[in-house]
Amino acid sequence: MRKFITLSLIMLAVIAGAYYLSPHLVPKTELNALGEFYLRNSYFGEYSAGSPEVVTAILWDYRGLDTYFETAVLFMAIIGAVSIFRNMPNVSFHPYGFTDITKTGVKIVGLITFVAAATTAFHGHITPGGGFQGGSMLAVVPLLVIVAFSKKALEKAGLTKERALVIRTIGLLTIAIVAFYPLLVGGYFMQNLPVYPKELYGMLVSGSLSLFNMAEFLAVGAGFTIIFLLLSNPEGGSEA
Amino acid sequence: MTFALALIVSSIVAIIIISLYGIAVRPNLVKKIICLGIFSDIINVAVILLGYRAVERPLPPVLTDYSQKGVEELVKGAVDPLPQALTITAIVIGLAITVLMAYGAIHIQRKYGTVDVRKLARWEE
Repeated sequence: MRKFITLSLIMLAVIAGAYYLSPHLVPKTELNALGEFYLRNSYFGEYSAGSPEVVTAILWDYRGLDTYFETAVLFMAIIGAVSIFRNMPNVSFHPYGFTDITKTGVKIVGLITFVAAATTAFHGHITPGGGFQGGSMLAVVPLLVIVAFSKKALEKAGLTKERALVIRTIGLLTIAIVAFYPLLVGGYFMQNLPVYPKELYGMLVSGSLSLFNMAEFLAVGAGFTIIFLLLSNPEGGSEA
Repeated sequence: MTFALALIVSSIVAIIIISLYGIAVRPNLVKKIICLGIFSDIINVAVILLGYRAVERPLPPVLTDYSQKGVEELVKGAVDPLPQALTITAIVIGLAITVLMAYGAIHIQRKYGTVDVRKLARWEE
């Protein structure tokens, strides 16, 4: 009863606040100049990024430096976790996992999630999505496996911490190479279109955007897998 | 239209207050983590609301008709893409933070047998 009264009081306060606010609020109908510039130039135009998906174009082209160093932040965070946990003994617990129903369900859902994550990442320059989103979805699969089966099952299937580190390093190296390559041919750092082709064999690849998306997909997915593997270690250190 | 927008704004404010209350007052660590997740999500919603346009049918900032006409329609109806681009990285970093805190809570539960901060701080023996 008390919860119900609190809830209705909050609802009333929200509606009253809306009534108080609504005369003062001017809804925005015009874009600001920057947003309009991005919308006009992302596919056509003089400063084109070659991508019909404006958000991805901003992320990897117009504001590419932002995202480059955002990736560096994520890189440093995972390197920090890896170096802290470096000497930790690799032990597994929950050797039996959940019931067979859960395991079968995780197998199906894991496959679907993997396909959806890959689709989200690889079509990131055409439809909403991209490397960050696809990578976060990809990282859900090992997490599900760890919870439903065990950490050991994941490692037995071949996805150990070292292999995840290798995948992640490949992704990050690809990002760095794709970002630095335009400097060699006389362009700018992270330059997109004249350096990289807009279309490849009749397929829209949007220059470097699809490369960045795939590499970021690998880097984010494998990076989160490392974190899940490390943090699912039970405490095995000395009793202090 | 204005009232709906005002309702969204005032509910965002209410949710921010409620989630801050949950972070500060609730003694259960898991509930604190859930409230922090709600807090970061509602901040992202507020940032995306900044890019909203009150036009007839707002479009997502994705070009579907690859022609100049399509671009004109996009400029006429699409929402601002910049706040959406900024929230993407915030969501990924938020995921990392949530994972870290959740595993911290799991290990606290394993070691001390409770996630109640009052018991962890030994306020009530």
